[in-house]
Order: sequence, then structure tokens, then C-alpha cells
Amino acid sequence: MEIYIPVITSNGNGVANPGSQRIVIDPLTRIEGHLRIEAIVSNGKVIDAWSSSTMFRGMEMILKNRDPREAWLFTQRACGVCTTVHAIASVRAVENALGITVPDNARLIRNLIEAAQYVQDHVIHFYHLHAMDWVDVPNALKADAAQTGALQRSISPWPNNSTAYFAGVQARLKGLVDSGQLGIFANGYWGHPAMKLPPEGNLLAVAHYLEALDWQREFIKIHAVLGGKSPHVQSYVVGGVSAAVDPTNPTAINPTKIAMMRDLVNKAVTFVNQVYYPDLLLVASFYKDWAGWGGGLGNFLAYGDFPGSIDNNPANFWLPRGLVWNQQLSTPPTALNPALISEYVTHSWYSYTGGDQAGKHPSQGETVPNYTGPAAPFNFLNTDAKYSWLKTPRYQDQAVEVGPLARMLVAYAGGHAAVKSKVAEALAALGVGPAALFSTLGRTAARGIETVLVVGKMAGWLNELEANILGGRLAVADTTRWNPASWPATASGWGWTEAPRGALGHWVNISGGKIVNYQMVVPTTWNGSPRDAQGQRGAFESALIGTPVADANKPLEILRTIHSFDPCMACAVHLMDTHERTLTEIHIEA
Amino acid sequence: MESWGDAGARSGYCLMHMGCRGPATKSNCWDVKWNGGTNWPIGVGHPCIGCVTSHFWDKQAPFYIARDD
Repeated sequence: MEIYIPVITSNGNGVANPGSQRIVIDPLTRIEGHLRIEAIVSNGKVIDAWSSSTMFRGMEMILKNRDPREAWLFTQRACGVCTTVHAIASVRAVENALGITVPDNARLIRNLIEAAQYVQDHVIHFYHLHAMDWVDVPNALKADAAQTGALQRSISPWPNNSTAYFAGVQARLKGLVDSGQLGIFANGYWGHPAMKLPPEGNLLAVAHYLEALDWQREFIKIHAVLGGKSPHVQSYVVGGVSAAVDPTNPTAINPTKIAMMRDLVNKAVTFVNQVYYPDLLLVASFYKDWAGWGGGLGNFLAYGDFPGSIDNNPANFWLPRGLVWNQQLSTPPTALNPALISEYVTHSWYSYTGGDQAGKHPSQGETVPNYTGPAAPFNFLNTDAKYSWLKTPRYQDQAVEVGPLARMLVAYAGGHAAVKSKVAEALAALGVGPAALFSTLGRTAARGIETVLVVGKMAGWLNELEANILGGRLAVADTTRWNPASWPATASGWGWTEAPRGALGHWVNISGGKIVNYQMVVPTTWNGSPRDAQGQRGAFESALIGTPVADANKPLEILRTIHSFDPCMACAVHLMDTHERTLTEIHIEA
Repeated sequence: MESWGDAGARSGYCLMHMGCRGPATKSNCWDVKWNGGTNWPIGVGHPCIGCVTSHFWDKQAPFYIARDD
């Protein structure tokens, strides 16, 4: 089995400025998938950066000639961390192509599945992926357990707050550290000068890291009730959901199962509001300087999601659709036109017919891999040419960022009352102004704010679902277009969703009842994209500019910003070849 | 059951006519289930797709066509 240990190479070769060095982080860990960052660090700051996805997978070629009703079963398996999202985008794409409207129960069940995904995913990201950039785990052994209890009581009513409790966590951690093998905590940048939490803060965070693992395992049972299992919920169907509802039948989703989910939601509301959100504010209070780094592009895009009506009118989405440009929050978001999305391959390892300087809309997408990079082993990519397996999505030929920050800003600029209120509360708690939102700190805070708001919506959707069931409205799918004989000869559609990591779109072309083209433009494709034809940086690349780096051999600060995007590379890298070419096979041994 | 969410679905009836691959799949999910014994796809009225089968995308698809193997 290959063990990935991050390789940091730093080398002054090939860089014009003395006092600069080019560093490489490959693989970047505590993300999903395979990412490489190259950056020039000059006088202790990043002055340029390149983001490269180092793996390709072949999702859409597998879909060619398959039944569009099945596509979601394949696409969902793009990623099990971001489970559900490629399923909903796929069924929506086919429903859009075939003109199908799902019944209200399906709308509610889908909203609940997506909301549960956000809440679990964001909590896991904060503790299990991002936290070790800010929390010095071994330093927790220096904490005073009584003072840690006092700290806990000062930030939240969460009941695990006794001296004995924290002493117990500390003893458990000490056992691990004393064993000489740090296990899941190995290879962290422990003792890095940029780590600022006091030992009690570190111990509190470690305790919650462990608690969050247990909490999320229980919470995600909501997916099992509504979707059979998680990862890879299996109750979607083109036309709605397969999960039957009934007021009394024990095998259907009934009031007893709704009560079980309500209990899990209540516990999640408590956990998010008493553990995750207060921890986020506590950690942020020690890192307020990170309001000044990691902002990047300042342009944000959201498809919006959580339909409030079965016609999918974006005006009734709970999270709105639109764009914010140049950090402008005082004017309403601009309307989104999906026709203005294009993907470039100028700096990506693909070829386009007609040349690599022009972008293509996903409905006319092509994916012909063309690896022109160096043969391994190598020190640096040739970033003047093609350097990533990610394509380069652009909106109106501009680079934009997607994700929780984008969603919160689009909602904020549009006057969304709940978002404005929670954002204002968070900014006040930290003693910073709205400019702080455009930063690594802002991006991280937006994820927590969004989690509080999303978990707060779930009870309402459960109530609506129960009311439908008790009212005898039991339809869960529109089956009038289930049979392919009912379809037109050709059809094409767009499926959209806001995955936890950002705006996700699937485009499908159907002919003769089969898929003839399928393209996925995924949040991390937007965020992690290389330069486009005009040399404009993608969101990761832009956000890294100006980041301080205290030690080029331990580029913790670069990790903090990249992790704030919550990358999922498996989702981002995918391709389809419509011409049945034989492609290079890459075997990844595990 | 014959159609998503019909009366048979509400009573948890067999999914063979919807394309279920269960009989062709060697797995214990009917017994152990998923997420700590909470549920399984048949429990939400969706046919099994034989996902534990090696190369199931090729070996178990198509997923919505009932057949005897």
C-alpha cells in the first residue's frame, strides 16, 4: 500500500528573484483527493501560486450509452465524502431534459437529505480536516483540565465541561503520544510558530474532534432513514424519490420515522450551536489576523438550492441564486444565466477541437485527455503551459469562487434576513467588519454560519413532510415519464445543486433513450482551476497571493487557506470522451 | 410493487419488477443493513444495484430492467 507523506520541495532554481524560492506541496493532505500546490515565496510571502489536480478518473465516459435514469447511481460515486450531491444534480439534469416535475414529498425528502449532508459534512470538515491547521494537538497535553472546563463553560452550555472530562481526554491523548506513534495526528505541524491557541483551547478542540466523530455517526442515520444508507443514498429516482410515505404502514416513512429524525435533528441543532459554532468563534478569536489573508478573487457564484416550490423557481429557493462581483455587498446579486458558463483547457491536460484558446459550454463539452506535463520524477510543473487535470470553468470569462462563503454573500447581498442576522452576529462576536468576510477567516466562518442556518431549517421540512403524510398526500414520484418510450428522440438538460463545497452542475444530452454526452462542472473545478486562456488565476491560486509563510519547509499557512475551500478533488476531476478513443490507463494501487 | 411510491411500495413489497439485483448479489445487507443496522436500499423502496459486486457497474447494470439471472 502506498503511503502518502507530503513532500515539500523547495528550490531556488528557475526563479528570477533572489530571496525567492519555489515550493511544492504534493500531495496536499486533509482534503479529498489529489492536489498539488506550487508557490513562489519571496521575503516570507506567497507572490504567486499554481493549483494542479494530479489525478484523472473517467466518470463520464462510463456514462456513454447508458440509461439516463441510472446516471445518478454512477455519478454519485464520484465521491463518498460529497455523497448525495452528484445524485441530485444528475436526476435534476434528466428531469430538466424530460420536463418532469417532482411531487412535494420528493422536494422535501431531497431538501432533508441535502441539509443533512451539509450539516454532517461541514462539521466533519471543521474538526477532522481543517482544525489541525489551527489546533496544536500535542500541545493539549500542557493544558490544565480545570481551566479547560472553565473555558468550555465560558463559551457554551454544552454539558461535557467538567475537569474530570477534560482530564480524561488528555489522558487518552497522552497514551497515544506516549506510544510513539501519533496515528491520525502524525505529520502535523506541531510547534509551528503560527499556532496561536493556548493549551486549554487545544485540549477543548481535541475533545470535540473526538466527540464530533461519534455525533456524526448517529446524525447521518437520517440519510439511512430517507435513503437506505450513507454514503450513497439510494432513494433518488428520476421523477422524485423511491421512498414511500404512509401514515401508518411500518415499512414506509411514517410518523414514527419522522419522530426519530426529529430527535436526530434536535441533537444536531444542539451540537452545532453548542459545540461547532462556539468552537469556531473561539478559534477565530485567536487568529483574527487571518481576516487579512486568503481573500482571493472577490467574485462569487451560487446556483442556489433548497427549492420551496415544486416548479424549482429560483425565487423560492431558500439559498438564493446569483453572483456577487468585486466584493460588492451593497448592491443586489446579479442574475445567473447558465449559458454564460464555459470551460477552458488552455492550461489543462486536455485538447479541444478548434484549439485550446476558446472555452466551451458544458452542453457542448469535450474531454480528450492530453497529458503534456513532465514525466515523473520531476521537481516542478511547467506552469506556463498545461499543468492540471482540472478544467477551467469561467462565468462570462471571469474567474469566480463557489462554496459556503459564496452562498452566504449572495444571500447577504440579496437581503436574506436570517443570513444577514447571523453574519452580523458573528462579525460582532469577533469584533471585525464585513471586509473580514473576504478572507480565509471569512470563508471558514461562513461554513459555520451556514451550518447553523441549515440545521435550523430541517425541523420545518420534517413538519411539512409529516403534514403531507397525515393529509393523505402520498405521491413521491412522477412516473408519467419513467418509461423511455414516453421520451422525445433527443433531449438535453441542466441539473444544478449547491453541494456543501459549492455550485455543482451536470449537463446531459439524451438521444434514442441513451446518454450521448454528459459533463460535470464541480465546485472544486471552479475553485481549484488553473489559469484560463487570459492567464486569470483560479480561486485557490488567487487566494494564496500575499499569504505569509514563516518556514518554507512547513507551509502551514498555505494549508490554512486551501483547506478553507474544503477541496474535493475526486469530484473535480472527471471526463467523458464521446469518440470512443482509448485513453491512458492509470492504475492507482491501494 | 410496480411503480415508485405505489401501494405496494408503501407496504414494502418485493422490488423484482423494478429491476432489483438482490437475488444476484452476495451480500449480507438484508441482515446487517447499513449505518448501525438502520436501513438498506430495499427499505426505501429502491432496488438493489449489487454495489458490493466487483465491477458492478458493468456486471449488475442495467439497474431498472427486471430479469431472471
